[in-house]
This record gives sequence, C-alpha cells and structure tokens, in this order.
Amino acid sequence: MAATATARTSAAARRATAKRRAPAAPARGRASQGQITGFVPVAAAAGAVGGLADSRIFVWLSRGRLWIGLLGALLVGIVGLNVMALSFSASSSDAGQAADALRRQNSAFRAQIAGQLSNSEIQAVAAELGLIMPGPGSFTYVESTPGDAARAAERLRNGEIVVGTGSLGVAETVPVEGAVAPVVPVDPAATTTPAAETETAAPPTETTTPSAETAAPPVETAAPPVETAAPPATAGSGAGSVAAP
Amino acid sequence: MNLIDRRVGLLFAIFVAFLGLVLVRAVWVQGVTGGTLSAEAEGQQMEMVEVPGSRGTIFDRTGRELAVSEDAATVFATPYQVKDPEETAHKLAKVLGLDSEEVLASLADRESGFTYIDRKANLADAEQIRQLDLPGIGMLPDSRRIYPQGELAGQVIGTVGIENQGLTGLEASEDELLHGTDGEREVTRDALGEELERNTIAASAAGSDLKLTLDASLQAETERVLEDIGDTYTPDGATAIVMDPRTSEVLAMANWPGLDPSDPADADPESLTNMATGFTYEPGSTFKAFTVAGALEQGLVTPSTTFDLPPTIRVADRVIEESHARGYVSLSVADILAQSSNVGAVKIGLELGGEDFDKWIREFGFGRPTGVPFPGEEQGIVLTPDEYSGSTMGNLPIGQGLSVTPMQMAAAYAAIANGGVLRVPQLVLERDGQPVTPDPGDRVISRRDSGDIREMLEGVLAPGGTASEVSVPGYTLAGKTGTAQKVDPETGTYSETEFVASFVGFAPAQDPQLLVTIVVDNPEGDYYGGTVAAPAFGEIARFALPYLRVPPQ
Repeated sequence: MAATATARTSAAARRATAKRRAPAAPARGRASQGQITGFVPVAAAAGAVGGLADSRIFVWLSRGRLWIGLLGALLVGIVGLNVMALSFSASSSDAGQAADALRRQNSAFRAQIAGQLSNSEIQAVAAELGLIMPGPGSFTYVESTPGDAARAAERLRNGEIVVGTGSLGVAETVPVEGAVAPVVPVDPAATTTPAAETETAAPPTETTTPSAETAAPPVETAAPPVETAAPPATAGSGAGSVAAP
Repeated sequence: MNLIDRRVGLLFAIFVAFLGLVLVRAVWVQGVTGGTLSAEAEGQQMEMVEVPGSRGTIFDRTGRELAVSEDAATVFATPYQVKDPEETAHKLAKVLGLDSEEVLASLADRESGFTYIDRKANLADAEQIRQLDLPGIGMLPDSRRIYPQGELAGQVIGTVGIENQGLTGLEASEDELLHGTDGEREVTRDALGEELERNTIAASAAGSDLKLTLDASLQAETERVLEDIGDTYTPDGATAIVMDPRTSEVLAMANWPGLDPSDPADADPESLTNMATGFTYEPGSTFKAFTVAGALEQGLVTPSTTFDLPPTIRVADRVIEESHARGYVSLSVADILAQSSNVGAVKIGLELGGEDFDKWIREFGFGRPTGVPFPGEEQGIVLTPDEYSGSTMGNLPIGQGLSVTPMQMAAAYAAIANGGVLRVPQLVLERDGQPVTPDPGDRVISRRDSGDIREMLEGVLAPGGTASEVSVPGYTLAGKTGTAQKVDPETGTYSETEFVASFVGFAPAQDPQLLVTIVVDNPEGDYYGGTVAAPAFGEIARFALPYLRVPPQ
C-alpha cells in the first residue's frame, strides 16, 4: 500500500511538473527567437517527446501489463520470421538440389538416347528386323510426267493409294509410271555460289518418296521387289523407304 | 539498512558482477577472437562449389550426336576424417570399380585434407556412394564427355582432358566455342552436413554446339571399308576422305586404325593423328593429273596429242622407267593418264618446264595447308624452281620428289571434278547454330579443261586402265591410281619394299557429286593403288551414291 501511495504521489508530481513545463516551452522559444533560431525545432521536438513520455497513454502502457504480451509477441514474431527465412532457404536449397538432380538425369538420358540412336545400334536393330543394305542396282529412278500428279490425285480419291502406314515391316513397290530419268549434267562451276550448285544438282525425279510407296499395285516399272532409297541408318531422315529382303 | 536491503544489495552486486563477466566475455569473443571464430564457423558451415559448364554438343550434318556432355561426379576424400580407411577403401573400390589397394594408398596420408578418389564417376555410382554415407568422403559436381557413336571419327572429333579442355582434333581447335563457362556456388550446411542454403555466385553456362559436314552413316561405311583394308593388307595406316566436290564439304574423314576418343590415355600416340591432314607422302601417279592439267591450260597438249614413248627416259642422271616394262609405244595424253605412263608424264612435264610446272601445282594448292579447319594440318613439301636439280623434272611430273597430304589431293581433285574451282575444304557446317559461310573458291583451270581431264580420268577405270576392275552399276566413274615408293630412311633412296598405295576417284564422271581419296601407307602383300585403294573407292561409292540420292546415268 505504501508503495502504491508513493507511486501515486510520484505520478501526481510528474503531472504537476508537466503542467508547469508546458507553458514554459513557448516562452523559451520566444526568448530564443532572434538569437539562436536553429535550436527552435530541436527544442520543439524535445518538448514534444517529453510531452509524449508524460502522456497518459504512455504512462498507462508502461505501467500496464499489455506491453509484456506485446514484447513477447514481437519476440515470437522475430523468431518466427527467422525460422521462416531459414525454412525458405532450406526449401529453396531442396528445390535447387531437385533441379540439379533432374538436370543430371536429363543429361544422362540424353547421352543414353544418343547412344541408342548411334549408327551401330540402328544398324543392329535394322539387321534384327531383317532389313538389308540396298545395292546400287536396287534403285530405279523414274521421271514424272505432267499427268502424274493428276493421276496420283485420282488414285488418292479412289482409295487406291494409302498414305502413311508407318510400318517398317511392310514395303510396297512404287506405283509410278514413267521412264528412267535422263540425268541432266550440271556443271557445278557454272554458278558461282556453292548453294546454287547444290540445288541444281539435286536428283530431278525420284519416285521412292514415302508418299508414293504404298498399297497400289505396281504399274509399268521394271523395279526389282526391293526398291529402296536409303540405308537403314537413315530411316528417320525421310530419305526413302526401306524394304524387307 | 535492514537485512533485506543488504541482501538485495548483495544480489544486485552479484548480478552486476555476473553481467560484467558476460560483458567482458562478449567483448572477448566478438571483439578479439571474433574474426578467427567467424572464419572457423564459415569453414565448417560454408563451402564454395565449382559448377562445371558442360561442353557443347558436336553433331553430324544430319543432327546425330557425335559428342555430348553428361553430368558426372568427382569423388574425393578428406583423409583425416575417414574413420576406417580399409573398410572405406574397400567399399569405394567396389562401387567405382577401382583397385582397393590404390584407394587405400590415397587415403593413407592422414594429415591430408583432400585427395581425389575418382574423377568423372558416373552418377549411378556417385549415388551409391552417397547412400553409403562414408565419413570423410564427399562429391563434387563434374561433367564428362560421351561419344555415342563410339570410335566413329575419333581422330576428327578429338579428345578432351580431365578438366574438360580440348586436347586433340576438333575438340581442341573449336575449344573456345565448345567449352562452357564454369560457375561457382556458395553452400551453407548444418552440423549434420545437410544443405541449408545455396547462393549462386556465378552461374555456369554450357558451351555452344558445333555441326559438322560429316555424315555419320557415310563415315561409318568409310571406316568399315578402311577396316577391311587394315585386315587384308595390315598397313601402317590408312585414311579416306569423302567429299562433295561441288562444295568441298567433307562428308567423311576416316582413319585406320581408329581411336576411341573416350579413352585417349590408352591410345597409341600415333593413332591420335588424323592422317587425312597430318600425313605427308609422295603422291606418285595420282599427281599426273595435275601435270596434264597444267599442260592443257598452257595449250601445250590436248587429250588426243600423241607422244612417242621409249621404254625409259633419262633426265640428267636419272633414268625413269614404267612400272611394267614395255617397248616403244605411241600414246595419247588420255592414254598416258589411263595407263599411268611415267615416261609419258615426264615428257609432258618437260614440255611444261620447271617454272610453269611449279606455278600450276601451287595453283592447285600444293605446298601450303588447304585451310580446312582442323588443327595441325601439314602443308607438304614442294620445292621452289631454284631448288630444282637437273633430274627434278624427271621426278615431279610423276609425283615424286614432293610430298602432299591426302586432304590436299582431295581438294585439288575436287577442283578438277567441279569444273576448275579450288575451294577450302569445309568441315564445319554450323557454329552455335549459325551457318558457316562456304569458301567461294578460286578458279584454277577452265571448265573445258576440267571436263577434258574428267573424261581422260574415266579411262583409268575403263578397260585397259589401271583400275579397270572397279565399277559401280549404273554410274560412270573416274579417278587415278597411285603407287609411290617410300623413301628408305636408312639409305635415303626409294624403297623397293615399302609403298604408299592411293586412289582418288569421283562419280558420276561428268557430273561429279562424290569424291573419294584413299591413301594406304605401306600395305603388305599387294601395294598397287589399283588393287589396294581403288576397290575401296568402289565400295564406298557403291554405298554413297545411292545414299546421297545421286541418280544413275
């Protein structure tokens, strides 16, 4: 009780002092005007802080128990924030590790795929499928005539030509009419740029294209049963069909 | 003061003293030993990890991968942290396929803080080691080179070193492009070694890709043909170049014996050399085409110009004879090429004269590197006219007394085949996705004369020619055989037992789209270009012409 009374007395004394100080501040301000004007804002700020320290709310807060809870909450918040930051770092690290692992797996898979697509592997698989390397005499080149496109369109309409069976095991003869293409000699030096030379030297006609090599019966071709345009290793390049022996 | 106040005062003093001690300790720890402790903590918790930038991929012209990079791991040890070296060495050796004694030896230095156990271990093995959780054993990210096509074009692609730097071949010459940029990462670990945080200090970057003019299928077939030559004639070495003479793009460049680029350490040092650019030899009769080309361009002869040829011809102190003895004959220039007459070629060379002969062979690119983008290209040896002796013009027109590389021969014959334009052979199609500008070339002979030479060279594979047994159904072939004696290093004279057999051919003869150069060094059993090298040309052409979709005539 004695302590409470002392505290009350002290509070009353502080309030009295505050009351006494309040009118004094502007007087000091006025007194200093024209003498040391730079101190005026500082003095005003100090007065305001002093006023705040003596304010009822501040006194109530500092004497109450709420601030304990408030400080506790702040501390918990700070710790929580740190924990969260650490947790995010760890998650980020985990994600980075997972990304690294995936990248490593991708690189391993890529190397694996490249190995499986190697020339020797493809040739081995082709040999297992019974595919053979066609000799130079196995090819028949025929020249298209102006009516070929119309006839092919007609056959497509009639369902005589089926496009894109996608089967490696089936290969049909090429049902395209025409005679063996006369090769037009092209002098590579006739043009100055290599690109132009390359273009001019392309085979003029070649009917072993995938679109033409399907189910239609052979018409007027002297082609042997095996009629291919590419070795097994190039089956994926669209160079032509590969026939079973 | 009552008793309670004294006790309170005492407690207060104790607290003050304790706080003072804490303050002193804090000042000591943070102010005096702070730097050292901080460094120690960083050393225990943080590490800088180098992240290797993988090398770019090398593709063939069709997009097939010839060389790729794969992530790997470097396994290392901190010997003083290894608890049971013998057990650890045994486990590591088992997983990595190493000798456990060697692993144990590397762990022996207990004072050491770092030693490599295995570099570029594959990731599956690395994962097994990680699961073993061996104290003192760690792993670092690494990258290793994989060659999916095996030995295919081994000498051309080249090899890389342990630090992923190019050592030979295109891996070396294109290292600047292919080599990635290594990155750096700061990793923070907890007391159990688990990763807590990672900061990328510098990001790693993969190298750029390279696309070659080589075609993997053609390369494989060419290597197969060379292997047959190797099995049949057991030469010292053999090489073949397949080229598109219209653009001088190299479609295949093969060597025998081959090279496994993934294991250069075990390779014979000589097998690292790409013979196509690094081997010099006296070309012999294949060179006669250039003697004739010079004389044609000078207007001294035509294909039908006839020469009366004695069995031998003397030039200064040297007597030149035919490879097969004969009597007096009259042969046209075309016949001289078809039958590969030494006497006839020397006569044409003598009509041309030393100065002009020198001019023409240099026009065709002999005596200097072709410029093909491949490291270590030889330039051959071509004498200057002021170095000629009295008998030099008895040697040079038949391809003796000078040395060339197979690539020079291929480039020069490409000029004959394509209508007279000499181009730098092209080996790289794209760098980092950007097409390489092809060499426009320089005209060295007229289109008409190149056509005449092509026609004359058809005779070499026609009945009566030196390679008449070679044919490809549906196609006309042209070419020239060469059988050159090697110089015996002991006597300094031409050897009677060691030869270089060669053949340069192209097809179709009048519209060449394929050119093949075969050089076989010191074959055993047979040594004529017409029987050793020319059949190989036939085999390659038989595959390549349909493959390249060249229509038959």
